[in-house]
Amino acid sequence: MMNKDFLEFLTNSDGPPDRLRAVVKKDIQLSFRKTGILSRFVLLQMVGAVVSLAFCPQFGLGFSEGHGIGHYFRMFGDLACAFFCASLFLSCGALITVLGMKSEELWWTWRRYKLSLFLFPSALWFLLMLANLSLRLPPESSSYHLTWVVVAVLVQATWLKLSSLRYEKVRLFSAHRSHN
Amino acid sequence: MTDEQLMLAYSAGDEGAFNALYEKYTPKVYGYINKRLRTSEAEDLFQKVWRHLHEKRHLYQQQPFAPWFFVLIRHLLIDEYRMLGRRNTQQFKDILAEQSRVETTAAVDVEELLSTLPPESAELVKTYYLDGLSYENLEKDTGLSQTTLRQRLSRAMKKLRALQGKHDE
Repeated sequence: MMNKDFLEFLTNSDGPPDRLRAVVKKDIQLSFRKTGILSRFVLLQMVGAVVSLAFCPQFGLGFSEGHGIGHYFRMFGDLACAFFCASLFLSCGALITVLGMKSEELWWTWRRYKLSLFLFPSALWFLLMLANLSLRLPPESSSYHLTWVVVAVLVQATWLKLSSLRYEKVRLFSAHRSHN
Repeated sequence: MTDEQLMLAYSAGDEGAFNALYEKYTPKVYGYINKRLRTSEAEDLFQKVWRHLHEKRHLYQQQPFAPWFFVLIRHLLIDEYRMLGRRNTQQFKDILAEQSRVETTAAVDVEELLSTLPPESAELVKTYYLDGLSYENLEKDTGLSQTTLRQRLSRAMKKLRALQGKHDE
């Protein structure tokens, strides 16, 4: 049995579909640069967080005073405000990450660290919201925070999923086809 | 370079060595697991095998690469069967029954089997399949053309399979 199996293994020539072959190869190739890719991802997300403070009334670093841009969102209700706010912050981080990293690196990060990607930025920004250090605003309702977090996760996931899909469909496979 | 040299280089972080091993072993890995699982399951396991090899590459200690890699694949295949809840299938029982023997005798069994071939053919099979030399290298070493080498290897493997078939009966 063993010999038979091993011989069969050695002489197999049925390769996987091209798509799978290309995906796995690129995945491992990028794994060689794991630390660099993840460090840059986190750094750029942080930069996004800092940039978002320009629009954010929370820490008093923005261009506006009081509620600032939040004032306009408030006119549509608290939940709408949470929706806009989370979208803006997470999009800010995601945009800077998309601009600062190669598409193959984002594809790899999404592929390998989906769960962490859901948790990390959302948790970070959610904590900052809770901290609410500089503005003496009345505390937000739990439904506000829940909406914020759900939207934040969805926005983060959407940005990275779209970026990942674009890379996989447009660049990875076309490169693989032309290579063959 | 032999597979063993490539694997050592890969362990040390050489991406080119990984590429070479990947190109050579992709059909072997996929062909082997695709015959034992449904296509979608085989595709998932194929990815797991390469990820696992990458994560465990530092554990490689210069043993013959092909049997070592084969044992790793069988371990993952067994895990997959367990995960899929197919403990009662004959295929799983066959694999499991042989697993302990596989780990200790993989290389020895192959040596025994090769000893049934004429020495020249055995050497050819060993250098190509186990040591991982390419046709180009074999051409230089033996002075035979690549076409002749392919024919001889094909005949040797056919004979080995026939012998193995008789042995199993």
